[in-house]
Amino acid sequence: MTSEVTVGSHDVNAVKNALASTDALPAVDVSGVTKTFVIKRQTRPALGEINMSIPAGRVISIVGPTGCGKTTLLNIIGGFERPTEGTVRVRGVTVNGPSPECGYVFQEANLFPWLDVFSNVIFAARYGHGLRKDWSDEKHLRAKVDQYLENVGLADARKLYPYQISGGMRARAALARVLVANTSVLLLDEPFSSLDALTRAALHRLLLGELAEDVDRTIVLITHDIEEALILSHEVYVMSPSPGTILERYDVPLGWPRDYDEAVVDARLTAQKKLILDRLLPYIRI
Amino acid sequence: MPGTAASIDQLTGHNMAPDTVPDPKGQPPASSGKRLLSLLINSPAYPALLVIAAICIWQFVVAKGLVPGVPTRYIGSPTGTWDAFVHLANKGYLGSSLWQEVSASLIRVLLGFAIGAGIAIPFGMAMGMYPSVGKLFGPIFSFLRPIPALAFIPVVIIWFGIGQTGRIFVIATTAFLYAVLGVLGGVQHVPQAYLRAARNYHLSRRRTLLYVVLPAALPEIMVGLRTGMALAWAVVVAAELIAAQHGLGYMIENASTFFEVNVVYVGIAIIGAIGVLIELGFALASKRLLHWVGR
Ligand SMILES: Nc1ncnc2c1ncn2[C@@H]1O[C@H](COP(=O)(O)OP(=O)(O)OP(=O)(O)O)[C@@H](O)[C@H]1O
Ligand SMILES: [Mg+2]
Repeated sequence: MTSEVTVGSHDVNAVKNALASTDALPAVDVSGVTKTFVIKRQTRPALGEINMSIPAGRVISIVGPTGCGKTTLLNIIGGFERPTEGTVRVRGVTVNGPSPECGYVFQEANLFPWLDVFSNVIFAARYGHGLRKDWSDEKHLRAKVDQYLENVGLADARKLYPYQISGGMRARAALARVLVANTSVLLLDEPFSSLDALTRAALHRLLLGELAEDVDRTIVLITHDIEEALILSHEVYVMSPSPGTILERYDVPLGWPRDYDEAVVDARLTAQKKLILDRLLPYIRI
Repeated sequence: MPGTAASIDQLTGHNMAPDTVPDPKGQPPASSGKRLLSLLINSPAYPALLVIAAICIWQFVVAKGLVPGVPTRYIGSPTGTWDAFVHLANKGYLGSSLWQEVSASLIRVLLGFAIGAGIAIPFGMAMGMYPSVGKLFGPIFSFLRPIPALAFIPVVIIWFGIGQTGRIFVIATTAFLYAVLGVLGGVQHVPQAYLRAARNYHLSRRRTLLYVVLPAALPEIMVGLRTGMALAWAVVVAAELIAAQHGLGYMIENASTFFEVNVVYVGIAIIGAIGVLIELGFALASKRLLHWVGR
């Protein structure tokens, strides 16, 4: 984990110092973050005070009803939006712009329509800065991209353009793209929500396999699906709406690295799913 | 692609099946005459039919001497124009071949367009990327754009004399003023999502421009180039009024002073035909290059 930092808004020395003492620092530290949108002079509080401390190598999920501010929170962590108050630190460095440590899968899979699937997936690793220094060799990189495409079931679609594949395939391509970029922190905004149950299960299995090999990787996963959150993560944060606040934090009572096939049938998960559902139910208004 | 335009076909209702759905209000179905008309205008041969019809009417009117007050030889005729074309194609115009006249105009337009568009692309991108640059130059271009090229010509002659430079300058300026509009619009309308992706991957400024902004803006850039090219071709006649020795504009101008109206028509028809070919070229290039647009 010695990625070179080359981007202006981050003080290179600060990052290096921070990296030297990574173990002590949380990978993502959100302290006192609030967000208020102002629309036509009317203020809309989107996030109340949010505090989170995510140790390196942890996978955490955020679940909550629609509109509760999950995407807003992830955008702030990713440096795409400024918090109204408070600060976010990624590996010890205060975020004031997108950090090269973070890979982001946006809620809408924003593949470039002018590139085919393969070129989209290889794009970040090929042109991005501070990513995958060890993959400077193009041949190696292409082989790696092909392997990831195979893993997400897109081997046959590598030459197709985004408009020629289904929404689920686009979501998988976006996931492959961020996995190839191989950043130390992954921010995933509902990457699986457009997938059918079978594909989703296959990707859960794939992701758990990935994570078993790469224990340093920190993931913040946003999802509507409580079961998905429990299967994939160490901790589940539950958010309540208007304004968005963290209602509760649950530790998932399963070991790590985790076997997908054991996890899905674990009775403890079912019990905890019920617990979280009951906690959220009062906030669901239909 | 989030938040972008629907395809042209969707907007214009082109490609849609003819309206055969029964009217819900129970009105009688469209008359057979109406149906015939719809069949006609949707037929791919319709443009050709239109031209043939116009030529027939023209020939008829001239042959019958139906235009009062104007001598027939000043109106010209389809057969006369055809004869003039055959003559020009075989013997050329005033000692130089017809192809020489055509290529003189083509070279001017292509050169002027290349210069104008070549400046418009980086300039428009700079205007889009740096709002202060856009604000600085935008009003100047807005002022110049609607002024007809013809109005510039006396000034251009004063500046550059009556040589090739002035003609190229007029064409390049026209191409630039319209192309820059497309480039600017394209850059301003690059979807936020793509820029976010570029920021997320920490692309350098140069790579963001080259690999994200340029392809994302390409659809509008192409429209700008197409407009710039069409207008560059349109002003070639005006540019060739600057004491040109060759070119279709020169041929038209010269022929008109000798009342060779059929030669004038040949010149006009060739300008129109080449304009259509240029359009076609752009349409084909867009289809290949921009296959992903609107999907
Ligand atoms: N750019 C913005 N301007 C104004 N208000 C915004 C903006 N972005 C989000 N909001 C508001 O903030 C709140 C939270 O939005 P956000 O997109 O974070 O919700 P979410 O939890 O991600 O919802 P979903 O699960 O449907 O994706 C919403 O009420 C929304 O209206
Ligand atoms: Mg969201």
